[in-house]
Amino acid sequence: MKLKGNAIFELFLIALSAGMFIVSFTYNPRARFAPELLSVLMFFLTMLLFLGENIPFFQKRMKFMNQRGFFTKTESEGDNRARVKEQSSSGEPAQSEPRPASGSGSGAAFKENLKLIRLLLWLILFAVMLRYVSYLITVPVWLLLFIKLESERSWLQSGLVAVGMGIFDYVLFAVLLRATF
Amino acid sequence: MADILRGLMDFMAWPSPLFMALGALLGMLFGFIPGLGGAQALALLTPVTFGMPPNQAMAMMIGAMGAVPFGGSISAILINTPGTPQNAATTFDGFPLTKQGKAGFALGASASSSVMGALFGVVVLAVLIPLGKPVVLAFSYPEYFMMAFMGISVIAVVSLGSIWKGLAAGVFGLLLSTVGYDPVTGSVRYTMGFEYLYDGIKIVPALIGLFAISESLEMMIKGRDLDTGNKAIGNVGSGVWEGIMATFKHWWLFIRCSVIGVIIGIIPGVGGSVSNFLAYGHAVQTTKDNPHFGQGDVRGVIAPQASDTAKDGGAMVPTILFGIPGSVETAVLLGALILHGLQPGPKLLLDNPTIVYVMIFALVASNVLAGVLGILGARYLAKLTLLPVKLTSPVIIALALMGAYATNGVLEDVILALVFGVIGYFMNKYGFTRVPLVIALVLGTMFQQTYHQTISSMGWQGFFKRPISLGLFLVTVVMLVTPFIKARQDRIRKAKKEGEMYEA
Repeated sequence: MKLKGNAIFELFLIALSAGMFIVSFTYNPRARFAPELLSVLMFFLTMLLFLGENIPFFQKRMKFMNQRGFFTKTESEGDNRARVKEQSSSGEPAQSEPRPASGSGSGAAFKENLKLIRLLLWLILFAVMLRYVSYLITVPVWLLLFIKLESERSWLQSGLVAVGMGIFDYVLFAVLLRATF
Repeated sequence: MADILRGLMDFMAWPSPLFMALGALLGMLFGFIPGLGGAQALALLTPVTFGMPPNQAMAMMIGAMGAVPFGGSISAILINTPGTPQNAATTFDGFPLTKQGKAGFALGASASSSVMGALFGVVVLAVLIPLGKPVVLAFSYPEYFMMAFMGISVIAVVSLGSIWKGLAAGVFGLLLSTVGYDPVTGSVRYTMGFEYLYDGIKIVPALIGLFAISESLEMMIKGRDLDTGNKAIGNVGSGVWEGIMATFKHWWLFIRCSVIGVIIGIIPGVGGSVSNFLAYGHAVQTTKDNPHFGQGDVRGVIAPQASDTAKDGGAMVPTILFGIPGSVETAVLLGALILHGLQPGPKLLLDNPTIVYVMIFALVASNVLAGVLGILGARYLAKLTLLPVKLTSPVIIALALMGAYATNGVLEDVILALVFGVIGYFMNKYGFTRVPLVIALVLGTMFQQTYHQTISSMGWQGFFKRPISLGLFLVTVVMLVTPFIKARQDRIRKAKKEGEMYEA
């Protein structure tokens, strides 16, 4: 069976809740009550989700897993224009609205994952820079490199944004908020 | 009355109005730029307000929160792209009006209905606060436990998408809230030896990660640019006054849609994207002469905008009275209140009523300011959508990470924001709504504390002996079970219908 992205995420949540359940036994009975109860609940909920979404045998028998939120019908079926507009908009459909899992083929998914890893490495670089040099240097240098190398814009555009943000950070944190970090 | 006056004085005391105006500008900008919204604006503002007195901080944050719905309507009307999901229905008639050269008319209607809607929501809030005081005083540990339980369960049930995923997200949030010191025994849990986690998961970096970072990651990965390519903006300046007056002309529709907004706002976790469509649908269904809906009917702008802004006042009702956030924005606001040493919920109402009224005045003022500035600057704001996402996303990421770092000046906050950014990205991608997680994370400590306090002082019977607590429990059970019963009835009805058709 080939696991899809959502199955892997659900397996991660199952493993996390199982791990938290096991670790909770190292605490005294009163302190472990809430983690124990919640991790068991989380384990069963995510297990149900995993089985109901990914295993055909359970998919047929666990129809109740398709139950949607009270207001889902209002938005998704209420007006087709709504869906078109929301999907065409670059905005997040809703803070409370889940985005369906993208199933645009394994090639596209691989590309997406690769891009995510690349972006995460950039974010880690930001944190590492912040550890060793001041934020007044980190922000403009990171922005310059990111916009030039990752966003593939010109040096001029990258430099302008980097300098602009550097000045903004200096005024906000160093001058107005008198930050000492 | 004295509290109201003190609240007004505090709100008017310089530089609170300045911070409210800055917050409103940022909120309008975040509302206007598709992909960003109130939660992101508030998450970024929280660390910025850290050094301010609470009244100035709240003026700034509420200023941002109040300006988002109108900011989002500008892009919905001018470029056919809703700035936030709660403005999606505004595009149906807003953009056709722009194509007819009536952008100013639509913006005027949006501004006046937004301002009046906010006023309506605030009036309801102001009326309910004094009425709510005796209710709050009747509450003890079991009631607070049941309120938190009900809040999280209801959010999962009413959220858009899978109920099971909503419930799982809520339980995940509660589980994460057990990290750090146990509020009752003082035992340290799940810290993995990191001293940083002793105080639990810090709410501000977690929110920054869940909303600002995950959103920017999504935008960068999808590579979506903001502009839809449609620039039929026309003359923004003309027809504004007629638009403003249109809300007064359709006052009965405005009131009905504002009521919808307030009710949806009071229900925790539902949010503007639902109230927006409900109000638009209501306008279409209840209007007799409705062939123009979808082709540029101003009532199609007034209805969703009035409900959008009225919802904010409604969402503040459970937030202020019980410390149960009515929306994502108010969940972030609760985090900010805690950061400023104010305990949200009934204690806030009893110990610091002035700050509550500062929030109310800021909500009204920010809506008025956003309305005026939006009309004046709409033409220039529209150009912002031409900015490529590859430029805006890194700037938002840098701001978000700096915001997380600025809270305490420790690198661990940045790492926590990154971790939650990745969690938020995957939750969003695989259909797990983030709202129950955030609200459970905020309510987690109260949940545990009140549970232990009830058990210690009254035993488990304490949850069911007291009438309010029992009532809340029963309401929760009914709310959890209703969608399943309804689905079953629908299935039976459908099967019956199919059987009849087959026989015929």
